[in-house]
Amino acid sequence: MDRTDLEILKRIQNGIPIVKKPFSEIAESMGLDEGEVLDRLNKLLDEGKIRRFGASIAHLKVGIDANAMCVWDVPDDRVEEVGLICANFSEVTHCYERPRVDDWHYNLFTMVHGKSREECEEIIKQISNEIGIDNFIILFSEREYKKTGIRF
Amino acid sequence: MNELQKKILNELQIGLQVVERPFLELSKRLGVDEDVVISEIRSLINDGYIRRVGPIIDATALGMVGTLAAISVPEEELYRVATYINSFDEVSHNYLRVAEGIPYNLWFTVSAKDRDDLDEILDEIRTGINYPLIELPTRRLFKIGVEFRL
Repeated sequence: MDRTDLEILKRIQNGIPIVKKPFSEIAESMGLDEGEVLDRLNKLLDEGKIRRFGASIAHLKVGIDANAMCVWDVPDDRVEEVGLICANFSEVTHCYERPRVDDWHYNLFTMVHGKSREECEEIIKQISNEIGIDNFIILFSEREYKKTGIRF
Repeated sequence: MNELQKKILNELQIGLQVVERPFLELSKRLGVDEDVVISEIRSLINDGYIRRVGPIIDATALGMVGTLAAISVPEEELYRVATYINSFDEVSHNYLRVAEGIPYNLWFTVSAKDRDDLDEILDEIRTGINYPLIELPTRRLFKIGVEFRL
């Protein structure tokens, strides 16, 4: 990862042009070879610095209306096992262990996307049964104030 | 959204190949013309279904440091506080999430270039709003995947 890589990422973080040869256009605007831009981006993909090239979707607009952040109070010695089970549910898009701090006791976070709140609740009930933990809270997203890519 | 657009969205979530003509590769998988794919993606962007087509960056792999944070904000202050938090470029997501018995209702993520930078931003937010704030950085990542299938 060098300066040029970073410049390329900055140049495309808001999206690539939707044209036949987007990377050629980007390369040209930066005074680089198209081949070099492609090689550098593919290397970043191989290294996992870019997870993938894809679309950032407006969930609310697409009709995936319900977005539940379900937080679980999982005994510390079961986090690994429970986290892996939760991650296996296709409706769980993100799953993280986070610390307990101050008055906050929930240490496992799962993001569940569904077409309705009921659908999310149903999935969460299934997860709860499977992991044998019913100490959880569902925090639905009521309003989206901001959703962008990461700036650097 | 038409059926083709749905298929395109699913494909775009799996990922676009980084090649000279990425939309040509995509169009072959879908069995349609490259021009059709390009115009459908443009419509999806214009109609607000897609925000952008681009790299999904692993901030940690780039050496960046981030956290999820939550604040407890009175309802009448939500708009002001959310706008203030959004004013930081390092804030990428910010949602109102409400549940009974949970005092924290404004949930946002911050990504900064290093630990010092992150602490500075969070201190500034703490000082700027003066409501209880908790930091919940990722300890372990179990899954970060495709968002959903249409």
